[in-house]
Amino acid sequence: MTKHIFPQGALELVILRILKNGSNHGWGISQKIHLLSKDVLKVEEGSLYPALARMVQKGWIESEWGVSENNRRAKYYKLTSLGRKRLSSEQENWEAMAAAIADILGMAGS
Amino acid sequence: MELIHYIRKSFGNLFQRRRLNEEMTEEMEHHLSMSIDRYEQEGMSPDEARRAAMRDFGGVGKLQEEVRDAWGTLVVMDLIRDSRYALRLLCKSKIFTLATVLILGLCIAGNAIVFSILHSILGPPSYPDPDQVVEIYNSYPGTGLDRMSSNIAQYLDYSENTSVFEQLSLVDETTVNLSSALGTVRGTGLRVTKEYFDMFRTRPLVGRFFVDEDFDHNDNSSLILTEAYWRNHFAGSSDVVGETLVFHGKPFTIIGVAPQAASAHFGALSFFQAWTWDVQRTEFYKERRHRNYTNLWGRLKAGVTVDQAKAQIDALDQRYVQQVSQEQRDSLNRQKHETKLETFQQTRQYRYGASLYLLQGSVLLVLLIGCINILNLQLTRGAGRSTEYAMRKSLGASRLALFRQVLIESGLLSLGSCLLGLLAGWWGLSLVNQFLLPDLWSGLSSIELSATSVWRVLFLSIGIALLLGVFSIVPVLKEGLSISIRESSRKTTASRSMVNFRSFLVSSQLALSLILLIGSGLLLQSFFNALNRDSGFDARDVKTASLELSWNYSSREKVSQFYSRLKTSLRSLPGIESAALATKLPSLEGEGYQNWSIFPGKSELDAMAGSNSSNIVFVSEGYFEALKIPLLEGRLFTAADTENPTRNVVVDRNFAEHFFPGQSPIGQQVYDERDRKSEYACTIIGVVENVSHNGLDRGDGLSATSGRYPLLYYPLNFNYTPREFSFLVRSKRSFSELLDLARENIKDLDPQLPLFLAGELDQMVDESLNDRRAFMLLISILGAMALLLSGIGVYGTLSYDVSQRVKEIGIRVAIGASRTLILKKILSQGFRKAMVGIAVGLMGAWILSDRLSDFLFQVSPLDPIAYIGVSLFLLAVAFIASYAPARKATLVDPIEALRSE
Repeated sequence: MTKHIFPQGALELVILRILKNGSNHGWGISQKIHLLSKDVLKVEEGSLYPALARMVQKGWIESEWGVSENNRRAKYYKLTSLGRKRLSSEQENWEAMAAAIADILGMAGS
Repeated sequence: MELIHYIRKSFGNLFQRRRLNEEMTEEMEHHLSMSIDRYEQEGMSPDEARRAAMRDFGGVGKLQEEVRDAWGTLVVMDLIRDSRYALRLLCKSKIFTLATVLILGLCIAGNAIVFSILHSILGPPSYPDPDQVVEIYNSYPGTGLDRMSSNIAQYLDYSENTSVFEQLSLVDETTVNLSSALGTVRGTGLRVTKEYFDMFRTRPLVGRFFVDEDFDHNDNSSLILTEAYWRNHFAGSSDVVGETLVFHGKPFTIIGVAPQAASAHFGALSFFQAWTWDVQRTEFYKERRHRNYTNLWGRLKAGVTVDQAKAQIDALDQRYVQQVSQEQRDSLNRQKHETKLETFQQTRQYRYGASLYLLQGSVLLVLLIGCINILNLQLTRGAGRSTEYAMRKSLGASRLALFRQVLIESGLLSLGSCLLGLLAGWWGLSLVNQFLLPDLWSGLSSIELSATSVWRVLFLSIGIALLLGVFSIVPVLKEGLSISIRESSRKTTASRSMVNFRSFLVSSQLALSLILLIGSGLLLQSFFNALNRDSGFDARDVKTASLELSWNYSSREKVSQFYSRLKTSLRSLPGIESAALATKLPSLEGEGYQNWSIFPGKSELDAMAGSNSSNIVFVSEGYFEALKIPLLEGRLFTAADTENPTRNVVVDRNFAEHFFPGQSPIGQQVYDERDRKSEYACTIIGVVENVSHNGLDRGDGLSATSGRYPLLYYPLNFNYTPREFSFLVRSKRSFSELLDLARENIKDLDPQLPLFLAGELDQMVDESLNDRRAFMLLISILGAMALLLSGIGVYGTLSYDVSQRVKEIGIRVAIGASRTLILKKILSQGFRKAMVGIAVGLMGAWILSDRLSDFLFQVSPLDPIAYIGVSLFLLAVAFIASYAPARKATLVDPIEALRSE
């Protein structure tokens, strides 16, 4: 199966969407991405972390330490109100853009 | 929002790099352990599981770098590194840094001070909607009286018949003898009507304001304290209501305290009194509509403009004019009477605006000159640093990085100057408060460094930083960096455009300085003109003090009895040559100064003259002798004239020439317009020489149109016995000794009588010029700063030129140019710059000369002496500043200079 690399900005959108369902740690997020995209979207798992750091920096998410499933200390991330707003606007953007591209591709095919 | 978060976070991260690193490592290890656990559950061996997990994760080292980038600490660290580098550089060139910070700092301090003064004087007052509060006053431009106060008649008329005012209030400044346990002192307050406090929308801090019952003319003993007096004398205690203060021996009961906003328009006030008058005299006041002795203030209703209010007032004035006699109508028309409305800010603008804007203009000029100096320094330094820039560029610094570096450097410089400036400004303001405030802006209690002015100064500094940054690097970038990396001093001359630009800077500096210096020169001349003016009287050895009798002196007899007892007791003091009483001292502003219309016996004269007004002073016998005012004709007052009024008056030469041209005024009759029909005609018995009556630096009298300033002396006791007056004695004894003796004597006459305005007359006359002196001093300080800065500018530029042209000069000397020729050449360069500057400056001064004319006394704003004198002076300074570099040029050793070729 071909693995697809994330386009610019999409990784952040996906992380926002996953965190909307509740806080999670880095490994958990990466597993969710595999699971939800049915393994179509492949991330180099480590590249999550720079993205998470950037998002913390911009104030979209914040982190706190907790205990994970294997009884080790893990950093849990959760959405801030700023991140929530960001998610809804980005999602709209994304959908509009995706629809537009789909339209164009459809027309070229006809 | 995001940006702010980002910046805040970045700075925060800066100090937590260690913790962040540890956390990042722990987090990534957690991720790997989770993956390993899962692979092991799927049946992999621990080794295989670890490898698989690592493969999924990606390059740890690279990813960690990316995370660190995201923390944003790098940008901040760059900034810090650049600042540190800039600081090191600035510390290395100590003289440059020090000179820049000092020059800029002083200029900024000057601006901070003037901004603060401007803000606290012309800024909005502290009560709500200040634009709706207006002063209503009478103007009679036909007789040169542009600004007179108002009266009860107009207050009543406008209160009843207009619909535009929310409140109208009479306001009258009054000074009394205020007795307390500590003794009797003078205190200033306001007499106001009931509407006053509502007009400023204030509520009492303690107690209550005036109500109708407080306005009973037979018992108006209610008193309201100002906030300042309350805090100083009652420590802000709320128990103050019901306490008593004694004015002129009469007790007043405190009913409340008014907040500061109610005193906003006045200087140091102590109290408010209810303004009452005998209701039976209301008709009497209504008939005297243009006897102006009180101020009238009003608050316009919301939405009403000043023009709308003026239209209603004009209509009422018109109605009044229709009701009066033909004669009064003609008189009002001739005086071109108009009632005017003006807001507080307009009044302040009128009173102080011109001088303040002049001050601000001057201080900005100095800042401009200072900036040009710094710019010149920067250029010199920039040219010297082109090698450094080129080196850094070739080592990979982008233009942007170089630019950032320069900006940070100039930013640090102006930040330093700004700090110094604010510190010096703060200190300077305390000096201003201490020494200049009472002379220049007596209505203000103190001026503080306002927040607005601090912001303005900060913005100014940022602007300067940008300007300096851009100007110091652009020429370097433009010249091209690649060539600079070769030995820069190999060039024999600087580029033409650079030299031109720098000459332009120096010339404009000189031009700006010239403008300022001409201004201060003219002010200096005015000051000395006033100081050396022949005042017409001899103030040396004359001592004076003023006093005001209490209301216990209820009849004219009692007052005049006091006059004679005081005169006798003063004359009995040892070492007294002469002693006299008067309502006003010449050249000083004082209480008891009177003016009203005088009609000489010949009625046709008033039509002819265009003005029939005169200043009036009430004096006792001995007045002219004490001041040594020469008698020209007739005789002076004797004791008989003032003890038992004889209806004899003395006039000055102006009066005689104005009303009785070509004939002797002795024996002629004059009388007061109001008493025209009564038998109060007076006979002129003597003519004395003119004195400067209103002040050494002011035109004397009322009549601006006729250019004549007549003065009439009434005997003190005649039909007016003022309770407030001054005494003067001529004596060689010391002032303090005499004052103590006089105090003792006066205590015998009346134990509760404070003396005020006491001093040596010559000193007091000299001090009356303090406002002019202070203003001249301020402008002169700025002028001196400008001169110094432009001197440094000329010197700096020429020095740099010479150092750049060492090779060229060396070659010239080598091929036979004489030292004198070199000297001349460099000097003539300085001379050319100075001439251009002076020519432009003279033009600028000529254009701006109008602005100064209000401040000048007996000197034309285009006075050739000032223009030529200052130009020569500036030329001399430019010459001195160019001589040192020129001299240095002649010392160039050609062999040394050409060795490197």
